[in-house]
Amino acid sequence: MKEEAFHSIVRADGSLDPSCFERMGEEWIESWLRNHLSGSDPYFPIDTRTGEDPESFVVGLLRQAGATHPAAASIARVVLRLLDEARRLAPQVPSWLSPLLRLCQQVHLDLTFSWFHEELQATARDPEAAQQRWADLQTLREILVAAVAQAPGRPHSSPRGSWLVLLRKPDFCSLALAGLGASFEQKLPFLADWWRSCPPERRRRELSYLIYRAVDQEEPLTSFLGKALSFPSNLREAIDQELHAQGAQPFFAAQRRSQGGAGALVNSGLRREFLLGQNQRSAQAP
Amino acid sequence: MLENLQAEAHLVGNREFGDPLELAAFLRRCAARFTAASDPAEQHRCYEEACKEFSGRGLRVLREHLPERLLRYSTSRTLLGLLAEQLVGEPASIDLRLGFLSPEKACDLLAAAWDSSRLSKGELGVTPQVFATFEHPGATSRDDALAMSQALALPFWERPRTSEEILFELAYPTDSVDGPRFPTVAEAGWSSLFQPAEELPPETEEPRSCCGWTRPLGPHSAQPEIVHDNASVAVMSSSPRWIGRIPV
Repeated sequence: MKEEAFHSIVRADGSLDPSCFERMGEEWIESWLRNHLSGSDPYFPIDTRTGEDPESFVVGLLRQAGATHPAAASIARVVLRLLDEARRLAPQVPSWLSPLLRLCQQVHLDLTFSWFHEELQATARDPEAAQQRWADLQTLREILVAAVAQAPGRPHSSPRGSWLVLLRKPDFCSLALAGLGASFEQKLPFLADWWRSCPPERRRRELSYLIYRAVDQEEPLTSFLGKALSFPSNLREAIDQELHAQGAQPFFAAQRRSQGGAGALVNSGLRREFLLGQNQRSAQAP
Repeated sequence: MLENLQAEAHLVGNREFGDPLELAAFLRRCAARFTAASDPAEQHRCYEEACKEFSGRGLRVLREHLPERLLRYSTSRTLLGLLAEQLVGEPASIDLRLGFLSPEKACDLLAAAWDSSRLSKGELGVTPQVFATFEHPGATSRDDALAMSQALALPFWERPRTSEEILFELAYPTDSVDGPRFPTVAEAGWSSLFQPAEELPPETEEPRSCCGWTRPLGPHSAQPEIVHDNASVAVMSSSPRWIGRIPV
């Protein structure tokens, strides 16, 4: 059977009118999406010269259309069909799966919640079986990054329990931390568990980024860290070192100084100026 | 694309400049595949398959015709994510994928953490042969994403635009990659913005004959271009340099 030719409708500003997809029907969209994500598209050629990510054009199209546009809804239904197909084909990995998962990492698609929640639950139940079912750890990790976007572990949400289980697994703890919160404030209640699970060779570098991002986003770290006084001492020290490295005031050392200083004043009767000077010197010592 | 096929003079494989056998073989392969193609999508697939088969068969570019450093322009957030995962850590890579970390800031973080000896995953491009350019007198500004993308006639200018296009630059020593060749219609694939190199034998005294040159869009000057074998990102001599977003 001859495939129906696609006619794109381009607006005056050079952007694509998403309704031209809607007009073609979901069967055509499925075939187009499968080919496009596999790197082959005569209508919207993918730029292999610059190593363009095949999903990039679709992400732009969906963001431009908005979640409520009928074309976006059609594409979302097709995405779900392809995810179901990938599940049936596993452990075979079709060429479109990786770009499809990257698409799901970048655009929230309500319809895919159950699919990602099921994969998340299966991974939390038995990570090794999940890895085997998807052929390799890399594909499973791509699925879980997409699950962060589609099935995050907000308070009282159903995916939260699975993310909490994964927080204790070294291979998945950083993904779980992302799944449990986007901001530093949201991540904070889980930071100590993450620190314990994260392989030692990775955790300082990852903590450095988490602090960088909190500082960069101008999150009020001091007020958040006040709730973290029970953190393990090596985590508190590491946070202070990162704060210092990024030009912010170390928090826990200052807490120690003020508490230690006040206690000493009560107990020793030594001069306050002397104690404060001593505390400052010991805090500066390497 | 027909004009480009007619103008192609550097698809010679390992033969000398002027030898027509390789181009003839490419055209025969296209014709044979097209016979079986029943619709435009199938014709497109057939053409791309023929192109893949004949990629990396342009005339060899002599090492002495190239500078010490090559530049490659990329739009791939996936590549940035892979670099971030290895050098900045998994949370940064996740944030970049989810859109919490902008590609601009990812480039800053990569610059601060740059250590190419720690890179074991990722390649410069996604095809066996990748395009590269280099600095030359009168080149378009390397800091202007719009101008550079038009000077390179990047294929996303052929289609309706979205706000997702970004551009960053990879730099690496010429000697760290193999197989520099003239780009041909086979590497260009379905893109009509490609311009085959002029039908001139390579002469050191005539720089325009020593590599391919883009057919720029707009008022920008043409950029030199070659293709070479894809290589690990570990060949990069510095971190990816952020150029900018391409305005819609």
